[in-house]
Amino acid sequence: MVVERKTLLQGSGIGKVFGGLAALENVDLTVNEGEIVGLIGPNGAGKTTFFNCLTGITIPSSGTINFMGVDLVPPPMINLMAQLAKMARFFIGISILWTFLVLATYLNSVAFQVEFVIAMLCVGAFRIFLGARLRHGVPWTRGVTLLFATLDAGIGAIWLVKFAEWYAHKSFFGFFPLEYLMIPAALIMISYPAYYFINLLRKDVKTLFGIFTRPDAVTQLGIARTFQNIRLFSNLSVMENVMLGRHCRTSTNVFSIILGTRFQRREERETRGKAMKTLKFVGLRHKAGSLAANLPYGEQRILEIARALATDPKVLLLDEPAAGMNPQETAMLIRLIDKIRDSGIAILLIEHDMKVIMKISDRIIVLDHGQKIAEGRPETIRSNRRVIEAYLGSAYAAQ
Amino acid sequence: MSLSFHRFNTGRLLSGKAAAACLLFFVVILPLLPLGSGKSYFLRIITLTMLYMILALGLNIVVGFTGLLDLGYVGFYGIGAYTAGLLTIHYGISFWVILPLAAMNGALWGILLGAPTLRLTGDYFAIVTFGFSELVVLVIRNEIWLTRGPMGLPGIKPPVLFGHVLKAGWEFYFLVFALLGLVLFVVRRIENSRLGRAWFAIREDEIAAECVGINIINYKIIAFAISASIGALGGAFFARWFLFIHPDMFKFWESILILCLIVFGGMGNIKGVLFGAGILIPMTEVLRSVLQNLPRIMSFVGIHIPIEVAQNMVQARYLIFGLILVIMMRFRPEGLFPAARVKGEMHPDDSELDAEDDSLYDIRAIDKVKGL
Repeated sequence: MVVERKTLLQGSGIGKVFGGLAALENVDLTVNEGEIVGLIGPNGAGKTTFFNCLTGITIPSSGTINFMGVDLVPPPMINLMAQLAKMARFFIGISILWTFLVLATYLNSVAFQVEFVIAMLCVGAFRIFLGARLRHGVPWTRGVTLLFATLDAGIGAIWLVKFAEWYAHKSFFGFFPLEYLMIPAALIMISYPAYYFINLLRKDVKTLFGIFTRPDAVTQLGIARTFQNIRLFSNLSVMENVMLGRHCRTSTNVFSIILGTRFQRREERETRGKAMKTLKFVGLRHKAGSLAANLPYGEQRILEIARALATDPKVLLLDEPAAGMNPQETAMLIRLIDKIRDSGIAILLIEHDMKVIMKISDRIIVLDHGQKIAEGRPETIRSNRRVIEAYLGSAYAAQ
Repeated sequence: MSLSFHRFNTGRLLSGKAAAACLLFFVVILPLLPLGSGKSYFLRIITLTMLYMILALGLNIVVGFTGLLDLGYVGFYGIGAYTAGLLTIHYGISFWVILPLAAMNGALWGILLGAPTLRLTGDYFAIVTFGFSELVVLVIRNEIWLTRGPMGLPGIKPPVLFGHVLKAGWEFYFLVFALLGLVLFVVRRIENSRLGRAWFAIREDEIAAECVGINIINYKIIAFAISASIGALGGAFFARWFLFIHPDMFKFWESILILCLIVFGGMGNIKGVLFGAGILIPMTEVLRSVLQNLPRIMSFVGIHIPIEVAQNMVQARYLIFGLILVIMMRFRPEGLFPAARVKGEMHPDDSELDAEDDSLYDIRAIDKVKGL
């Protein structure tokens, strides 16, 4: 009876913790080709957080998301994590050595010795903190670690030069008699950054830092979304809004723009044509020249869908598209969503208007307090006891 | 249908006739006008104004298009000037080679500053850029082996064109006019392209921009690099025109001045930026001569200003400058010639902006929307 369809988007065990609050706990989801999946739940159930996790705006605390064979959030990789922990420990070791040696080398030659010691200890402490965070794969640490590694290479080189100077003049330098220790230290400082550069820039290591799930990369892969509180580029024209949707499918660079190459002109023409087509598809062509901010509320929602459609998505995530629409507009929206599905785009839909969701969804997922409480066809959801409980309270459900 | 959007792309700054008239005025008539205390003085002011137009156009990319507050623009101006000055003095490289080199050096420093700091938002970013410009001045001042520090860098040679050394005021006037034209051309091209749209999107809403697939960090860095290279280009011209550069010329005040030009003229609108520079820079010079002569005029009337006050009167021109800006902020925060987009941000419920008329495919309606 049920036709087997190709799975597009698959999330399993997705969880998100904000501070101590679990906004999402162990939610599973599958979206198949050509399907409309409804996502409902009372206010604060975690629906929008779930959308944010899927589109890379927030990084989920646990779970995996796979989109057409690409891991947006990859399963945890034990070996890589162990390797990262090793690198972090090594970085902490280097930092202690660095602080000690910088103090020893330069303390004699600076004017403000107390301040210098304090400053260097602060930098050393920050480096140790950085190492500790690096171990947990905090996204910002990757760049900062590479920055420090580069600086260390420079410092190592300077130490070597200094040592050569000392060797030539036999002049004493530094606080401790550490001259000969400087050579191996400098060599370590010069050589270890290469190791960090090779390893931290590796693609599989990048995933540990959650860098894979950047929103623009997700859009590029083929997941487009709209927002609950409309996020249009309100001071740009309708046309420009939709043309911006084409951004990730075009590739003109700065130089061809300045030179006005044939490729650039052709791509611009294509972008324009495609944007016009999309506007025609959603029925906003006559508004192409207006400012987006001047559109009525319902049309702004439609325009947001048009912008998302212009990115050529495989899956479209709609966050309460019917909110604030009158019945007429809602009817039009339902027709539009049907049309989008017919064009082969799967839809994941958050909606509070039960008429809409019951009418168009093939399958409904119900969230409550961050947990999935039910999943199934609209008819079964309507009579599901737990769903009624979540929406209307247990007293009502008992009746 | 799609043909009617043709002009949308190549929207002009001025109509054909007005542009021709402007060109005629600037190229033929203006250099010949016997104005001011001497022709060269007058031309010098015009040249300075155009230089500031170039700088303002560069800063406008970051502030007006991308919506980031950059308080350290003068750092790139200084880098450009010192690149040009040092390359000329030590290696005698031709001005025409130095121009792209300085621009590239500016872009390099723009990327180096931008890559780690553009992740910061709002005020924090402004503080970092402010710190950068101070750092540039400090380095120039202290690295005496390289820049001669507070002694300045004298003895820069003027540019040479086909064996002819540029000396006269009108020669530099045409040089900066050509540079301005070049920068204007580049900025206009970018504004109406994929890149410009991405910048506008970042200014309007960063999260939405990310969700339509714009890598916002990359595009901010590109904006920063292009802005910095235009600033450095201006600096390179300045060094070869003024023939002497000094760290004090690249103080924080200059950044604020250039920012003022943009705010005064209209953020994000090229026309507005040009007008802002075209009005405010000559005005500082006019105010200088007015304030210099004010004590003498007053003494004719019978009011004697104390000599200490009279000596420092010229400094008061910045005070008047500030006053104008305060008045602008109160009554017209979007600037003289706002871009339609920015105007929408400043006056959210302005009915004038309502572009919903029947003639939606009318070119003029579209131009109005674009604020061109």
